[in-house]
Order: sequence, then C-alpha cells, then structure tokens
Amino acid sequence: MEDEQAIKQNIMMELVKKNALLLVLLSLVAIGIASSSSFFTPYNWQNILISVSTLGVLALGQTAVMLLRQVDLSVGSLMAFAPIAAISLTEATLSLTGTKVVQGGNYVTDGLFLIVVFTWVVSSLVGWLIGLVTVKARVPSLIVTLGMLYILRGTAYIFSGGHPMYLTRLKGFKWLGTAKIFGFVPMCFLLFLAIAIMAILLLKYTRIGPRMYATGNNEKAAVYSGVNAAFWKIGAFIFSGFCAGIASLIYSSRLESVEAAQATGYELASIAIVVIGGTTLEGGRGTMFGTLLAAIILGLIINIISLIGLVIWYQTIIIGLIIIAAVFLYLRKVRRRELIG
Amino acid sequence: MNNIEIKRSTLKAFEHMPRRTELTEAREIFSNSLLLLLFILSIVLAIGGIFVPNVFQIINLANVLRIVSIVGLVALGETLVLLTGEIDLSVGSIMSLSLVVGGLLLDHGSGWALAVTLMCGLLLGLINGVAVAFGKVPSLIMTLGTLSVYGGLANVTAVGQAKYLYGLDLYLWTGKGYILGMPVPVVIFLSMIIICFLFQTFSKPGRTIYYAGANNLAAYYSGISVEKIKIGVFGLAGLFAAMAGPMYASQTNRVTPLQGIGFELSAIAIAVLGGTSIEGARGNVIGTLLGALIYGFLLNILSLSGIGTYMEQVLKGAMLIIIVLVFQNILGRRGNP
Repeated sequence: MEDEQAIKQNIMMELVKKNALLLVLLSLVAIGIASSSSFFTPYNWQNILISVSTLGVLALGQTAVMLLRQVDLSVGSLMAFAPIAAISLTEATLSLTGTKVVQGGNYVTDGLFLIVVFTWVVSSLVGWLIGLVTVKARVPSLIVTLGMLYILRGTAYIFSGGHPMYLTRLKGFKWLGTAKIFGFVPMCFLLFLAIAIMAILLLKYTRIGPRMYATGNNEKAAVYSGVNAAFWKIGAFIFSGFCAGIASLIYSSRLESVEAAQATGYELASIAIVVIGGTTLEGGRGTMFGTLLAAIILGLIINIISLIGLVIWYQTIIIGLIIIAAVFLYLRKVRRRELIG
Repeated sequence: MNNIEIKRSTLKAFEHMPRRTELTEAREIFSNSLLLLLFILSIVLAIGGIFVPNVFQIINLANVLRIVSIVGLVALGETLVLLTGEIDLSVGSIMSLSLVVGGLLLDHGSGWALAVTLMCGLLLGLINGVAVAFGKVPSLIMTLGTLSVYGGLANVTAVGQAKYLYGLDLYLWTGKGYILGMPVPVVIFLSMIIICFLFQTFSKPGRTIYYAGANNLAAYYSGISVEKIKIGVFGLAGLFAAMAGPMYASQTNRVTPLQGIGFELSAIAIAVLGGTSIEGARGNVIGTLLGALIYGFLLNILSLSGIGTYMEQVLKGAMLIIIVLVFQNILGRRGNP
C-alpha cells in the first residue's frame, strides 16, 4: 500500500517536473489576474502576444544555435542591419528601372516585396557567413558573433546615415505588425507560432532533430557516426539569421520605421528566453517547445511588472535573477539525474 | 624483417605529422604571440605616424594612454577570468553600480567614496565568483544575469540621475591628475599590470590560475582549490572594474548609472586581442597591455583620420574576428601559457 502511494507521489513529482514551465506560465496568469484588473482584458493580451512575438522568433533561432553548443550574440545588431541593408539594396535595384524608393530624405515609399525578400536574404547570408567563419576558420562563435555585433551595428549606421527611415508611406508594410486574425489574434504572434510549430515538428519527426542533438551533445562522436556536424552548425546559424530577419520585419512593421539603433540588447534577451526554456549552454539539451513557453513567460513577467507599476529598472533586475535561477534549477535537476545514472 | 616492418609502421604513424618546412619555421618565430602583438602595434603606429602625424602630439598621446589605461584595467580583470576558462560579462555593470554606490558618499569626501566604490566592486565580483565556483552556474549565464541585475540596481540606487563631481579634488585626481608627468590612470594601470605579471609568473597561486583553466579536473586532483581561484579572479575582475570607474567618471565630471555600459565587450575584445584564449589557460597580462595599446591607438588613429565613429565600430569588430582567426590558424592551438 505504502509502495503504491510512493509510486503515485513519484509520478506526481515527475509530472510537475516535466511540465514545470507550463505550471509557471499558469501561475503567472493567476498572479496577473490577482495583481491587476486590467490584466485579463483582450487588449492587454493582444499587447502581450505582440510583444512576445519579436523576441520569441529571435529566441527560436538562438535555440537552434545553442542546441549545437554555440552562441549568437549578433542577432540584435542583425535586426538593425538586415532591414537597412535591404532598403539600400532595394533602392539600388529599383533605381535601375527608374523608380525612386527613398523620397523626401528618409521616407521609404516603394518596393515592399523586394524589401521583405532582401531582408530574408541578407539575414540568412549573414548567418551563413558567421557559421562559415565559426566552422571553417575555427574561431569560437562567441568571438565571431561578438565581432559581428560591432560590424553589423556600424554598417547599419553607415548605410542609414544615422537617421531613422520611415516606412509610414510604404503601403502594406504595417500589415504584419497590426493585422488581427479573427479580429483578435495578432498576425505576428501567429507567425511566431507557425515558425515554432514548424521547428518543433522538424526537430521531432525528421532526421534533422537527432542529428542536431547528437552534434550538440558530443561533436566528435557525432562526426564519427557519420553526422555532418559542420553542415548542421552552419545551418543553425543560417536559421538564427533568418529568424532575426523575420523578427526585424515584425519589429519594423510595428513601429513603421527602421533605425540603426533598434533592437540593441536583444541578443541578451533572446539568450535569456532560451535559457529559461531549458536549453543549456552545454548543448544537446533543450526543446523548441520550452523556448516557445519561455518567450510567453517572459512576456507575461514584463507585462505584470509594468502593470504593477514598477519602473523598467526593476524589470532588468528581475529578468537577470530569473536567468540565474532558471539555470541553477535546471543544473540541479540534470546533476541529480546523472548521479542516479 | 620484423624490425623493418615495425619501423615502417612507426613511420606511417608519424606520417600525418607536419614536416619541418619554412612555414613551420615562420610559425615558430611568430609562435611567441607577444612578438606578433609588438609587430602589429608597431605597424599600427607606423601607419598612424605616416597618415595622421597628430597621433604623436603629447596631448593626444596622454589622452590615448589615459583611455587605454581605463579600459585596459577592466580588460586586465577580464584576462584573469578568461585564463581560468570562465567569462565575465558583468564588469561594465559592476563599474556602474560601484560608482553609484560610492557616489552616495560623495558628500562625506572623496576618500570615503573611493573606498566604498572599491569595496563594492570587490563584493559584486565575489558574488559572481561564489555562484560560479560553488553554485556551479556557468559563468556566461551567471554574469549575463548579473549584467542586468547590477545594471538595474545601479539605476535604482541612483534613481536614474547623475551626480556631479565639483570640488572633489582627490576623486578627480584619479582620472585627471599626473604623477611625475604621467597621467594617474597610466601609473595605476602599469603598476597593476606589473603586479599581476609578477603574481602570475613567480607565485604559486598565480601559476595555479593557468592549471585551473587548462584542466579543471586535473587541477582538482592535484590538490588545487579550483573554487578559491575562481572566486579570487572574479573578485579581482570586480575590483579592477571598480578601480577604473572613478577614473572614467572624472573624465566627464559626473557619476551616472550608465557609465559602465559596453565596457564588458571592450574588455573582452582587448583581452582576446592580447592573445588570451576564451577557452582558458592561454595568454598573459603583458599581452593584455599590448592589446589595450593596439586597440586604443587604432581607434584613435581612425577617429583622427576622420573615418567616422560608425566605421570605427565596424573595424573594431573586424579586428577582433581577424586577430582571433590569425591566432587560431597561424599559431595553431598552442601558444604562450
């Protein structure tokens, strides 16, 4: 009898441990409802979902990179560089046909399709370049992406001349950031969800997943078992760059402007989400689903903090403490499992 | 018969090893990374001297050396942390927070303010160290967390406002004063470099920093207290960051909670430029001195030649990647311990 109870208790504990993130999310919702009357209103939820999607998309890319025991510090700068470079490229391309893209100094008026495509291409290319230098030239990704953080930010300033570009006269550009599906769910959140689900499915049901986890866990063993570790690493960086491109589109679409200083510090926030989601720095452990939940959790925390009326300074303190606590707890869990065998 | 076959097989086993060629000889000349750094520094100075003669004006030299010393001091602490195989991203925030906490005591005189600033930096560094050594939290995450915690606390403590440093002669002297014709920051930086160099080369605990960085487990089994070393280097990194704070603050006559932002990246860049590997156990503080000089003069030459601040950022990043690329591929995976 006692055994049965113990087993039941164990099962309960396992359930709690496995769904810890979900429980945290639910308790945060409860805290939110308890702390502010305006928390559970459709308008506030729209705000939360919108604010989640930019950082969430960024964190999905970062997860792929961190699963492979790498880190990408350049995503924040890339979020400024990619759209600015795309606008410059579009301007150069369309000037061949005689269309003026930038009018009145810094109003972008034409070339929506090209801007979007170029943003994707540029951001993926930058990711590819980072992957190439990391893998082929054996420079640690921490250094490559730290260097790229400076390079991309500086180039963004040079391309834009330091002043913001306004996209208010670009028809259709604000659709991504402002459209609501069914009159409620923000389009950008659906985009984030779609990318997340795609990533989850790819990692779970195709051969991509095992290969990436194997490379992240033990690169040497993976290479000897026939996994093309270099390919997957470069692929992860390309995915991260691509995600940064999409995040920049969401961000710029929300603000209807592009600025060289935008998204400063987002690289750290994205790493924070990934870490809260349970992807460790040691690689090979963690899930995209964890990142998805963690992005919403962080969005909820920030929302609750500002609803309570704490200044942004307290946000940074609390987020920092959460990062440390999350990693501390995960490590304890992992170590206990390893001790057991 | 047997013998010959054994010899053949041994030869085969050694076949993949590099033969001694001109290339390996060239590598050996440059394998002393300090020589390479001196070479780069002289090239930078030569280019600067040719294209921008103003670099060598006394006033400019003093300015460059002053800034180099301030950033270099932070990089010195970062170097020690990197040598143990850890990383400290929080040095910038430590600088801000300790400056602001010390700034609370500005009314009681410079002495108190400076003392409290240093104590605060040491304490914040030790907190990092204890969490990394005993809590086993990876240093990248721990210091990423404290980067935002300390940064936020600095803003909360100062309520986002600046404090002005009027009439605080001792405080201002740390940044603007001269000892025997040398700017005070330069004197402090050089003496700290010398102390750290002597400590690393000639003292037992100094040597153990490398052992801990090279192989944690081996160091542990050899009876070295890896925990103590890690706590120590993080404490020193905090102390050096706090030391650089007042010098930096007195350049602009005010203490603000945003003063240290970005110092962590510059510090890592300088340490890595100086040949310190982020994987630990490779590099030394003299390299950091040279790295800081290269960094400072390069940026100074760039801004004097009117290329513009934006281009500076680009070149700073490119320089970081290229130099590590050179260290990794030309010098191979070995180097000065």
